[in-house]
Amino acid sequence: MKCPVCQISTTAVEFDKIELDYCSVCRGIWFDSGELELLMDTLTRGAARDLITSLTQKPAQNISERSRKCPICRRKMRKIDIGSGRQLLIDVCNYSHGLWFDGGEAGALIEQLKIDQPDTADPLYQALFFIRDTFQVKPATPGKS
Amino acid sequence: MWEQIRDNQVRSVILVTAMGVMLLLLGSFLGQTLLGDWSFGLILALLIWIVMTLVGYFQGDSILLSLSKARKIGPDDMPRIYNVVEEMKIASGLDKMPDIYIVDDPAMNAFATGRDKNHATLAVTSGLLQKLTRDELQGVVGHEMAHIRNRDVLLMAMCSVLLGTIVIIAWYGSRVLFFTGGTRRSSSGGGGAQIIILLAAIAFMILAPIMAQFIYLAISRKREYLADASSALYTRYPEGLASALEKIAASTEQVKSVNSATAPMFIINPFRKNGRVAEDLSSTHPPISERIRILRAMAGNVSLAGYEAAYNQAHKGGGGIIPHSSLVSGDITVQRDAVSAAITPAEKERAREASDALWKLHNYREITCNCGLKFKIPPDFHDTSFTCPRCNTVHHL
Repeated sequence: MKCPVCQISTTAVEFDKIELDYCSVCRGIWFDSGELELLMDTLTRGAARDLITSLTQKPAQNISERSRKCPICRRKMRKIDIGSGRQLLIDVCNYSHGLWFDGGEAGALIEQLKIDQPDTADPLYQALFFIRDTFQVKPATPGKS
Repeated sequence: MWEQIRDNQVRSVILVTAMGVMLLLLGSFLGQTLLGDWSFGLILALLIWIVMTLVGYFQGDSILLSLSKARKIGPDDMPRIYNVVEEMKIASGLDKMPDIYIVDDPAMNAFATGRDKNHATLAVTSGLLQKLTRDELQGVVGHEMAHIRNRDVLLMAMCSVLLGTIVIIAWYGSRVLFFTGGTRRSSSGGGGAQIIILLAAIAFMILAPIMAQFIYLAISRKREYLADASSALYTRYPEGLASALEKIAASTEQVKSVNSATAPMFIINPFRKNGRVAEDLSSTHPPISERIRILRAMAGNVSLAGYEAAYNQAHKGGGGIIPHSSLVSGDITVQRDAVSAAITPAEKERAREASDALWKLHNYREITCNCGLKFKIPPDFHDTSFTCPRCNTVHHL
C-alpha cells in the first residue's frame, strides 16, 4: 500500500494479530476496514464497513488541508470531525475502505481520550484504543514534523 | 461420470455455435452500417475472434492471473490451502496437482482456469482463506476441482473469450456509430432503408451482448450444479460447501479486477453492486440460496445420486442434473463428520496466515521487535533502518 500523503510504500505493523499500515515518514496510520472487522470481532459480517459508512454520513469539513485519496480505491476521501469539543479531523473513504489518521491526529485523539470519559462500547473508540495500544502514541512527537 | 461430461459437451457445442453465429451477425451488421459492406465486417469479427481465441488458449490463464494480480504459492507458503488442494486432487482422481494462486483481495471468491486437466490453475482470494474454515475451504476447492475434472475450464475460458469479443465489438461499434452516425452519406439515397438498418444495428449491438450472456448462462448453470454435486462427493461433507456459499453470499465486498468475461469462472457471481449482498439476481450462476438448499437436503447421502434426489426435490418435474447411467454406481456414500474446530485456526490467525503469505510473496521482510510489534517492511523501503514507532528501537535492514 502507498501512503496517501507521502506516496511511498507503507509498513504493515502487526499487534495482537491485527495489522495497521503505517508510514514511517509522516507517521500516518491506515486502519483498513478488513482489519477493523477483525478488531470488532462481531458475528455480523460487514459491521466495520457499516461503521465506516456511518462515518461518511458526517458533514465534510472544508479546510485548507489538502484532500487525501483512499489508498485502496484512489478516490478522494472525506474529512470528518470526530472530536468532542475540540476539532479533530480524520479522513474516511467514501467507499468504506478504511480510515486514515494523519501523523499528528492519532496522538491528539489519544490525548483527548485521556481527558474525556470515552464510550468504550463505541467501535470507533475501540479502534482508537487499539491504535494507542499498538503505538502507545505520545501526545507530541519531538523533533519530527 | 463420463456420460454427464459428454452430455454437457454436446450441449456446449450447440451453445458455443449459437454464440459464434451471434458474433458473426454482429460483425456483418456493423460492417453494413459503418462501411456498407457485410463481408468485411464479418471477416473482421472472425479475425478478432481467432486472434483472441489463440491468445486465450495459450496465454489465457496467465493473462487472467496477471489481471487479478494473483501470486503462485508452493507447499511451504501456505500449507493449509496446499493440503486442502492436495486432498481434493486425490479425491477427484486428477493426475496432476494444479498450480495454486492467491489473489490479494479481501472479497471471497475462487476460480479455476487452464487449458486442460494437466495445465490447470486454481486461484483463491486472500479473503476466502481468511474467512472460511477448513471444511468450507475444502468444499470450495472441491467445487473448483470438479470444474477442472469435468473439463469445464477450457470451455469456459473459450466461451468467455467469445463473449468478451462480442462485448468489445459491440462496445466499440456503438462508440464509432454514435460519433460518425455511420459513414454512409445521405447522398447515396435510400434514406428510409438506411435508417432501418441503422436502427437494427443499434438494437443488435445492445442485444447481442445480453443474448450472449444468456447463452453463456445456459452453458455454465448446469456445470455449476454438477460441480456442487462433485464437491459433495469428493469431500463427503456437503455442509462445508453450503456453509461456505452462505458466507460468500452474505459478504458485501465485490471482487476487484473482474469483467463480464471472467465472471463465470468464479465460484459465485462476482458481479453485484458494491456493498450489497449477493442476491439471487446473479446471471451466470444458479441462485445461491437454491444451491445451498440442495446441498443441505442431501440428507447424509453425499453421492451423485443423493445430490440428484435433492435437486429433484427442489425442482419438481424439471428434469435431473445427472444422467441416469452415472447414478447406478454411486448409490449411497455416507457423509463424514465435521473436522473438529481445533484444527481450524481462529479468524484472526487465518487473516495473518493469509496476509503473511502474501507479504512474503511480495518480498516484504518480517521483523519482530522486542516490544512485541511485528513489522512487514516493503522491499522498496526508503531507508536503511526502521525505527519502531512504539519503543524507538532502531532495526537495521
